[in-house]
Amino acid sequence: MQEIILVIVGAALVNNVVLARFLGLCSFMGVTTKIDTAVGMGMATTFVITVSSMGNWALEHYLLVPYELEYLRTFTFILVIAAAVQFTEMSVRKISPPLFQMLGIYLPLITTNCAVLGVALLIVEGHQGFLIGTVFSFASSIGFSLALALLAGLRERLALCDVPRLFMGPPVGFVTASLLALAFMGFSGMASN
Amino acid sequence: MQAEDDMPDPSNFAAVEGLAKVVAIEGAVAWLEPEQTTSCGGCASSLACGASAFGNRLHARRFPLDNVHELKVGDRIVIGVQESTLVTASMTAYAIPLVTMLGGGIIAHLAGFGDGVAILASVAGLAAGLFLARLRAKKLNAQGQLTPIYLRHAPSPAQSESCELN
Repeated sequence: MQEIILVIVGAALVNNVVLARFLGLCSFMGVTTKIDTAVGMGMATTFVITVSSMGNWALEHYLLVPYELEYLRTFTFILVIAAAVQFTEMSVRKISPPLFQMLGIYLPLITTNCAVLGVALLIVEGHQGFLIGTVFSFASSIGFSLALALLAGLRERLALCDVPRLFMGPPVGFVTASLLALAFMGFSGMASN
Repeated sequence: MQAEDDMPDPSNFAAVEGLAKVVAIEGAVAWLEPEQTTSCGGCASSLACGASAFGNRLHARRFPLDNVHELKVGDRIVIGVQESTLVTASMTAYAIPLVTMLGGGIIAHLAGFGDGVAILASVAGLAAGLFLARLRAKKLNAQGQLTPIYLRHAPSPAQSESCELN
């Protein structure tokens, strides 16, 4: 149990997928203008990262490694991620068409989010078992959602501030993101992964 | 049908807004297609970018709205859902299946089974979670919490494009 808690803290805070590993920066800057869209995107990404990491782990250990097909890893993982996004889209549409109307806009963007592929490759690199790998992917994506929500909250406040014209919009967003990354450096040393 | 009096005052309605176009009228129901409001499809790389192709499947995202504002085919309107609705919807669609999926895997692991059984338990948990999410979505839909609301008419594309260029 202690190992699971350490993995969660390490993946979500210490080695935050956005602020420490610098993955998924496109959606990090793109959807953080409003906190609600950031939460919507964060939840969708959490779901896709966890589901695709489970699928990738199973393929890696039951197909790629036994048949010595490791050179197809990146290609296979991208296919699994695209399939996971498609599955999510279909299931949300099946669960409720109004839900799909509200949340469907975020799903295609996740296919091209490098954080999804990055987390799956980190699990392989770390030689993690199924449970630890799944918990790692879930915690990484929670860290991603946390970073999104934090930056969105800051940018909503920044929109009301008197920012110099030259820095308005994305420039001050990047400055804020870098300060957030510095703040997350305070977690280093708590747990490693 | 939602009465006009029930409509929230757009001036104090904290909403996530979106543009939609009326594509068909069937009796008292207007069918709307959401308009692409992100940069996808609009940037210089739109021809080579797969994201724009995914995003352009608007037909699949067609949805109904009670036509109490005498909408006509071709009208562009601004619709909205309450800010809290988006969070509730995300929790329903994603959090419930995730929790049951992780729960299934963890329980199988703690019970001493191997990775293969844990994978099967996770898949079973995911299926159960999707079923539970569907039940909750039905309940929310019956309460009208997931229904978008008409806020106002949007300017025509020609007007808005000229504004963007300026």
